Amino acid sequence: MSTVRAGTVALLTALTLLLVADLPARANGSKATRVRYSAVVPTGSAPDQAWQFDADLEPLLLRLATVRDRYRLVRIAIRNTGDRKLVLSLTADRMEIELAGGLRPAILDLGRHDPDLWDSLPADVRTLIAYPRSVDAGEERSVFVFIPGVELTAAPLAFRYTIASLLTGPVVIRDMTPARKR
Amino acid sequence: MRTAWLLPLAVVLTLVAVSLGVGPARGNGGEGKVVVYRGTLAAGDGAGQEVQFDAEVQPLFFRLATVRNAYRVVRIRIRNVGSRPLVLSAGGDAVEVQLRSGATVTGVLDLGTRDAAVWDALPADLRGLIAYPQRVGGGEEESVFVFLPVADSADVPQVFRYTLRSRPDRPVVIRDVSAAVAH
Repeated sequence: MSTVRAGTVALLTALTLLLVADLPARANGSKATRVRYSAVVPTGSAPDQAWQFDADLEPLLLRLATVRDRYRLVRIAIRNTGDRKLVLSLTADRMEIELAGGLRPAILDLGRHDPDLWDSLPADVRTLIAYPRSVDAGEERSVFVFIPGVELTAAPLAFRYTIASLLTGPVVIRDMTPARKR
Repeated sequence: MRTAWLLPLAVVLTLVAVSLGVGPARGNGGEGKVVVYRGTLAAGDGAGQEVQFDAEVQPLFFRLATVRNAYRVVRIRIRNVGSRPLVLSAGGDAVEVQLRSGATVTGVLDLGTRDAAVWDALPADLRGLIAYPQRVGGGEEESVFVFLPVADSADVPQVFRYTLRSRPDRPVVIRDVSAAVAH
């Protein structure tokens, strides 16, 4: 049995490395670097039962392109691989981004924060980016984070996501980019 | 004991499935789906010289995020697998973008020359990072930023036709290969 366990550990380690590694080496360094953020909240006794939070962004494009010159946009994917529903709340959940200079609030409810902009978006876009009410078992949902302010000189270090229904504190979705890729 | 291998196998299969993006069903219509584009430029001289081009567009971001409300932007990565440099020209290279709607848009490669007002409004370090490169050395990778006027690019690109002054006889066709990549 110990051989099986050792084999399992070796396989999991190898697959984890495969998952976090990007394919080829970059020749010119920083321009094409992607930053990957991740957090896992276990929801059951089995290792594959969890709420998985992931984001992926290119710092250069994050700086370059904005929503109406007012917000940077980041998508966080929430994947529920367990059997417990994750309940979200548009009014009670909060998002903060962690920068080198400290925490900064971000916006989950664009409709309330900036109704003029929200109302100017096409209806199908509003539907696609609307904050979900829950992430059911076996589902994946997206949360769109609007970072106010025009200037942002570096990618966030982490996203601190407070979900009111989670009593264990904020989910910290950290930069998990392998160091050699930066 | 005979079934002891089932647990590690199940874990491995789960991880492989997650890595391939075939995990849980998407709950809200796959709005995170990315369109992948690829193209290749081969020297055709038998020397094995090849330059690879690829880009990614997330349709929702493409629609929502713009450069100073004037341009949508797509990054094309150029990877020179060969040993000889690929020469680029800000003034002589050109890109045409065919949208899914069928419309064709001329992309801007040299924003600094074409729209000084937008260019000058960008931070200096950012201008340095997105400036059109002069070459892609052998074994190197560079990025080219294609700017599409907002008014002309409401739809997602289907094909980029990229013509280099140094290789005018071989325009590079960078196509949407998402369907092939997904399978």
